[in-house]
Order: sequence, then C-alpha cells, then structure tokens
Amino acid sequence: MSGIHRLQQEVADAIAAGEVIERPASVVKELVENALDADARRITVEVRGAGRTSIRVSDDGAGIVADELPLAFMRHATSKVSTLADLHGITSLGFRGEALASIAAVADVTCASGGAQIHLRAGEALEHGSGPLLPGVNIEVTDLFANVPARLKFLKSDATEVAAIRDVVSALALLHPHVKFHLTVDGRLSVGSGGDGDRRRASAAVHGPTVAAEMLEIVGLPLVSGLVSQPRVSRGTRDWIVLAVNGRPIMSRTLVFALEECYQGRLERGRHPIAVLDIGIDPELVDVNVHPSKREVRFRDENTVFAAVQRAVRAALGGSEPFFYRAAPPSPLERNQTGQLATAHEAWSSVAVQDLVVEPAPAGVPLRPLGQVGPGYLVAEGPQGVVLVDQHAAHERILYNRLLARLREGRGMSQPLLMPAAIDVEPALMAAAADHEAALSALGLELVEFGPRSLRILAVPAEMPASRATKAVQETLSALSESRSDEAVEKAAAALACHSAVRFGDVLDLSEQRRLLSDLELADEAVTCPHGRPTRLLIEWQELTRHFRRNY
Amino acid sequence: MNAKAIATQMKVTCRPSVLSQALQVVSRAISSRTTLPILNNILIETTAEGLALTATNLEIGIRKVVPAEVAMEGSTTAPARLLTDFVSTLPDQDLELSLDGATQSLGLRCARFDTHIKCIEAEEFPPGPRPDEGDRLEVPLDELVKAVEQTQMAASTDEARPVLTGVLVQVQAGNLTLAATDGHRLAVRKLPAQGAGDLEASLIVPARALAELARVLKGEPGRVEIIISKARNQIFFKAGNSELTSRLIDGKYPNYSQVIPSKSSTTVRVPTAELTQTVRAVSLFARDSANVIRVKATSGAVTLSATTNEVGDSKAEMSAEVEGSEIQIAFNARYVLDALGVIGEDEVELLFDGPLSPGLLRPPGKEHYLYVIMPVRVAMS
Repeated sequence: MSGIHRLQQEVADAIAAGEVIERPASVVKELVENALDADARRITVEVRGAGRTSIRVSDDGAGIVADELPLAFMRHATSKVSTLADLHGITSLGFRGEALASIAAVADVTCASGGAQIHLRAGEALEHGSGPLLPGVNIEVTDLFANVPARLKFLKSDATEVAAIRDVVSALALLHPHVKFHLTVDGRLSVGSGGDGDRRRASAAVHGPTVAAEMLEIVGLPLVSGLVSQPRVSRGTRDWIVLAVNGRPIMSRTLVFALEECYQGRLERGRHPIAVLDIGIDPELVDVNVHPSKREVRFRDENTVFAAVQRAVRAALGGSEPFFYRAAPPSPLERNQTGQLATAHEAWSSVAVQDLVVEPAPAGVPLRPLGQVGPGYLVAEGPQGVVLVDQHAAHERILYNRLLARLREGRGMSQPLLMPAAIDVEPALMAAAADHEAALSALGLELVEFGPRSLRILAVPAEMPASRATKAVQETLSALSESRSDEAVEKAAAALACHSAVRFGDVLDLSEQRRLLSDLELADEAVTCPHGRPTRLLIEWQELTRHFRRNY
Repeated sequence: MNAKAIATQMKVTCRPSVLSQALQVVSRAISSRTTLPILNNILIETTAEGLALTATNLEIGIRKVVPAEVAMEGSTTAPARLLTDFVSTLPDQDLELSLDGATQSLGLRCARFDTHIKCIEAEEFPPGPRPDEGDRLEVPLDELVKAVEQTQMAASTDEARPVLTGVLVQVQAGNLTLAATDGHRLAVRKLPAQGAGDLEASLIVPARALAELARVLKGEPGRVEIIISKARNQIFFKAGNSELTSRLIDGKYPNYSQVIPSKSSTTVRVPTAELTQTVRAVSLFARDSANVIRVKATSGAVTLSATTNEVGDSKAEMSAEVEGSEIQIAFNARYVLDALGVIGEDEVELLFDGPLSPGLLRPPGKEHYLYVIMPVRVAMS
C-alpha cells in the first residue's frame, strides 16, 4: 500500500460535494434556493429521468454577471456572504458558496446568464463564451453522478427520487407563495403554483383544492405564519408537515412536537396534521450553520419559538369546523391525463378552492333528532343538512368538557355510591391515586386506601353509572400513571368521560337524543371526542342536491 | 310422510279481537335483533283450553291461551309480525285457522278474507322450560304488579354488572321481597305470599322481564302463581291463561340491607303530586350538572332549585311539614322522579340524616315500601 498523500482536487471535490449533493432532489433544492436568493418571481424546474438524465432550472431573478460566471462555480465562491459577521445574520437560503461547485463536481452542467454561458463537467470548465440573453439564470444539470458510480448505485427507485424532488419544490412553493413555481416531470406538470402571494392557493397547488379548503390560516400573530389543517383532515405520516425559518425548510422534532401537541384530543392516535409553518425570526437569533444540508437550525431561545408556534396553531384551530361528508371530487390525476395538462390543473387549483370554502354554521339553530340508526348513530336535521352523530363520542366530549370545567373551578360534583366498591390495584396505581387526590376529587372521584393493595371507591362523577365504577377507576388510574405529568389529569378526565358516556349500542329515546344533540351544540371543540375521533358528520343540503340532481 | 302430515293438520275457530290482543302481548317477547329466524315466529298449538300462543327470545318467554273451538289438533309457528298485524285488521267475526301440514301453509278465513301465511314446523321452535315441577307460592296479582312497578325502575340498565340489571326476589318467612338498585338508589318492596311455607329462596330476575309482567297478566283474575324451577335457573309467573317465563341472572346480589338508613335528623312530608310537578319543572334547569337539583328544608317549607350557566336557573318553594333540623341536600332529579311516579300515595315522607348520608323516601307511616337515594355531593352556595 502506498504512503500518505494529498487527495487529488477532483477526489476531494467529489467527497465534499457528497455532503451537499446526495440525490437529484438536492440539486433541485440548491438551484431553486439560489433562484429564491436572487429574488426570482418565477421558477421553472424540468426534470427528466428522475433527475438522472437532466434537471433544468430557470428563473427570472437577478442572474449572474457574465464575467463572474466561472467564479460562481469555484468552491467557497458566493455573493451572499462576505465577512464573518455576515454569518451571524444570514437572510439568504444559501451562504456557503458550495452548491454550484458541488453540483459541477458530480455532473455535467450548462449555465447561462446575462448573455454568457459556461459548460462544466466533473468540475472542469470545458467552454465559456457568449450565450442567449435571457432573464435570470438558466442552468441544466445532466449526467448526474456519472463520475461517482457508487452514489448512482445508491439512488432509490425513480418514483422515490421524483417524490423527493416534488417534496422539495412543494415545500418551497408553500413557503414562498409569491413565487410562481412550475415543476414538470418528464414533461408532465407536477406542481404548478400561481405565485400570487396567496398561501391557500399555493396549498391548493400542492395539496389539492379539497385539502386547501380545509386549511386554517394563521393570521395576525407574531413570529409564525402559515396554514394548519382542520382536525378532520389528517394524514398517517408527518410528511405533510412543512416547517421553515425565514422561508428555509428545516427539520425540528421539537417544533413538530409543539405543533402536534395542539392537536391533542383532536386527532386520533397515529394521525398527523398537514401544516405549513414559517417562523419569521430575527436572523441573529437563529444559527442555520449547524449542518451541511442546513436542515437543522439552532434557536437562541427555543422556548419562545415553541410557545409562539403553539399560540399560533391553537389560535388557528379555534376555527375548526365539523366533519363533512363529501362525494369524492374528480381526481386531479385523471384531469392530467386529458391532455391539457397545465391549464386544466391550474384552473382546477385556482377556481375550485373558492367554491369549496365553507360557510360557518349559523349558531343557535338546534339539531332536530330523527332517530337512531345502526348500533349507535343518531340522525338529526340541522340548518346545513343531515347530521350523523356518534352517540358515544359525542357524549364523551360533552362529559369531558364538563369534567374539565369542574376541575378548573375546583367544584367537583360527585355521586357517592350506595355501596362503596373495593378494587385491587397495583402499587403504581395506588401511588397515582395518592398523588392526584385533589384533582381526582375535583373530577368527582373519591377513593380511600383500603389495605396495601386495594382502594375503596366512595364516589364517582355524577354522570357515571355505578356499575362501571371499578373499571373506570382502574383505567383512570392507569391513565394517570402512564401519562406525562402535565397531561395526566386530562387523560384521567378522558378515561372518566369515556366510562360515564352512553355506549355505542345503547338505545336512546327521542328526548335523550334531543338532549345529547343540544348539549353537543353547546360544547366547545365538539368536532371530536377527547381521543380525537370525530363526533359527527354533516351531509350538506348542497351535497344531497348534487347527488339527486336537483340542481337543474 | 303422510302420517306426519296428518299429525300436523290443525283446525280451530276463535274470535279475532281476543286473538289479536293475545298476539300483541306475546309478541313482546320477540327481540328485534334476533339471529335465529325461528324466534321471529309465534308457536301456535291447540290445547284443551283453546289455542296456545308462545314466543320467546330465549331469555324471556310469554304464553297466552285464547279460547277456541278445536276441530283438529295440531301446531305450527307463524311469523309474529305478519300474523299480529293481519289479525288486528279483521272484523270481529269467527276466524277459522286451518293448517296444511304438508306445506305448512296456515289458512285464515274470516268474513270476506281468505288468507294463507307460510309457516315453519313447530318442531323447529325451541322447546323452552315448562313450569311442571318446582317450588310454588302465590301472591295477589295487583300487589305483585305494583311491587314490580315500584322496584324494577331502580335496576341498572348498564350491562357492566349483570346482577344489578335484575330485581332481587327473596322468599323468606312467608314474605316476598323485591329489591333493585343501580348503585346510586335502592327500591325495596315487601308483600305477603301464600303457600310459601318454610320455603327460602333468593333469585335475581332480569328487570326487563319483570317490566313485561303487568302487560302479560293484565285482565287475569286474582292471584299469581310463582314457580321456581328445581335447578333455580328459571322463574314462572302464571295467572289464568297467561304465563311469563324468565331465565334468572346468575351471581351474588349485594347485601342492600346495610345501606337502608336506620335514623334520620330531618323528616319532611309533602303532597306527592305537588312535589312531582315541582321537581319536574325545576329539573329543566339542571342540565349541565347531571340533573342535579338542590333541596332545602326549613321550618314549614321545602325549596327546590337548579342552575345551568348557559340556560338559566329556577327556584320553587312549597309548604311542607318539616320536623327536625334544617338541611340542604342535592339529588339527581331523575332518581327522585322515578320514585314519586310509582309511590302511589297522596303524600310522601322524606327522611334525611345530613347532606352526605342517603335519603329515604316512603309512603308516610308505612313500612312495605322504601326508596333510598344517595345524595350528590356539590359545593353549596
């Protein structure tokens, strides 16, 4: 084996490039971010062969001065940062001066701007001369990773790589609604935003009009802007959560947690919201230079940001609306195959959103119960249409709110048992009962120790059937001992509400139905039960009109 | 084949009005959610007394015999709903029922009607227990019906503890005691039994079954015969031509006697109707608080009140005979109304022993009925 020697420039560049350019989506990200830094208002991305064949990005931004074109492809060459002090207050997306050099190190790049054009391969400038006089920068990357076969081998399937590219463009389109994004994959439109500055229309372009109509906008709050989904619209993964700082997409487990915590009690376990959150913060207060891909950032005061996110999301969620039944809208995919790709899609995304915006429910008109169907659904007529109610979930929500109100006011209302019941519990649950005695008593539950491993139930919340006392106490104490301390009492209240509520399957007479429905109307956050399951489904009159063709 | 066909021939004549009433009562045993199709049918058999109709959901069974002229003996099962609905529309002229044993087609001829209903063989019908053996006692019919009414509503409707969905029926020292509780209130009613001798028994009868008793025995004369099966798993109530059968609930009933208050510090006596009307009105304002009404007894008056933040509040004062110390106590209005609705006396006596101890409700000066309610614990203002 030979001795130690300095790596050839070419090898060193390829290694360095690997940190920035991992896959075709990284190329797209770097080039689009450059375009955004150059104040482009229109950014077009064309991808062929999942980015392996070619990636072309053109914008209408400031462009690069003809003479500086070769310099732009040198490592650590940038116009965005010049002094060390600049690094502490970065406002641009890029700043390392590595992107173009890194791309050029692993691909064949042609870049035209300001009337000049340069062609590089594997980091070597092959040609430099005059080019077309176009606004902004036009850059085409072909034969990506041709000189780095190892990396080529690690690329995933075409579909996966295309999805990654789409995610990159989507996130930036959502975060920069004033920029018109146009992504085509093998000639077919994938993302096309209008660039009119309207975040909801940007969301329609990315998420589809149905979802966009269900997004709640965060308005008038410091630090945070964006959109969050109503609880009735959710996804099985966190892939639909886009977080950003000053327009830069970031990853932050803490902030995702802050977001999801606001949905607690509104979403089922395993469901996640759709969100676009941009944190506008003084660049001095955030360090973006933590990770080469700049996906992680450090906040000087993370708690403030955490709190601001929660305030913003909670404020937006205050306007949650109930669940609607909708017949499936025509799939955008089918429309794409009709031939008039871009136009059809754009028309659909911009017009349809307004059609689907939902009128808020007129308050105070009571639901009229019509009866019970299946094992436990109530059918009622309301001003907007036919309402189906899950009787258990609805009652659970009503009781949960009532229990929390008693907890807040410290005025428990308990129904002592005629015959106190004894239950055997594990030591951990004994401890939970002792630790939370005051809260449990405010919830209406009165327990006393009855030997080392058993409790005597003296009283239960006023609404609970006595026969469910033992099971309810068991589960309430489990909820207390298994939950984090700040949410334990709420979980306990949810367990008590669940056991006090009418069951799915109980027969309710009309007066009981009427009462349940009117209590539900009065309840806050009545859209879901405390576990996040929906309480009701609205089939709007217009939906029925449409279905029965009574609209013409 | 032929022999059987002949054996299942049947021909009887009866009056539609009588048959219709019986069919409606018997149909009560049919569960709307049965999984066994045969249980949607009513068993029709000829007997020495006439035509016997039986329906069951395997938990309870109802049997009625209607007077009929039997020309040919036989049996079959007919769909309950169709038969009941059809017979109820017939004019009250002689109705002739005739079965074609081979096709199980039941012909109904009455006035201008000639109708055929498709039936299922009687052999398919679950045989069900018969009250031939077991311990017997007798009680006056009207008293038993009243006792059931006064206790059955206190049983739990929640299946979490099956024993509480039943009414405890105890036979002891020549007395019959019915008791029911859902854990928050308790109703106990005693009545004398005859022919019990030294029989002692303690059975849990589903409240759902007892709820049918009044309807099943309606119009029968005098006394009810209660028969407890030898295996102690079935109970029969029999009067005249009517019979209710029920499975018993297995398990140990809680010892309720210990919760009956033995002393009181306040006694209130008020007219039943006035109290009922007042509780009903005030409780409309007890919505967000689990139906809770507050009761305040002072010298010469009882004040009821309820409040719901979003709805409003209501207060009513009624004059009453109050003995002992003043008291403020809160109850679930429904529990109070349940008792007032069945107490069957012009006046009712309420006994309290402090705001946290069970309250007692009973007919003034009588011992045969008592109703215990656990108060609700609320912050008094």
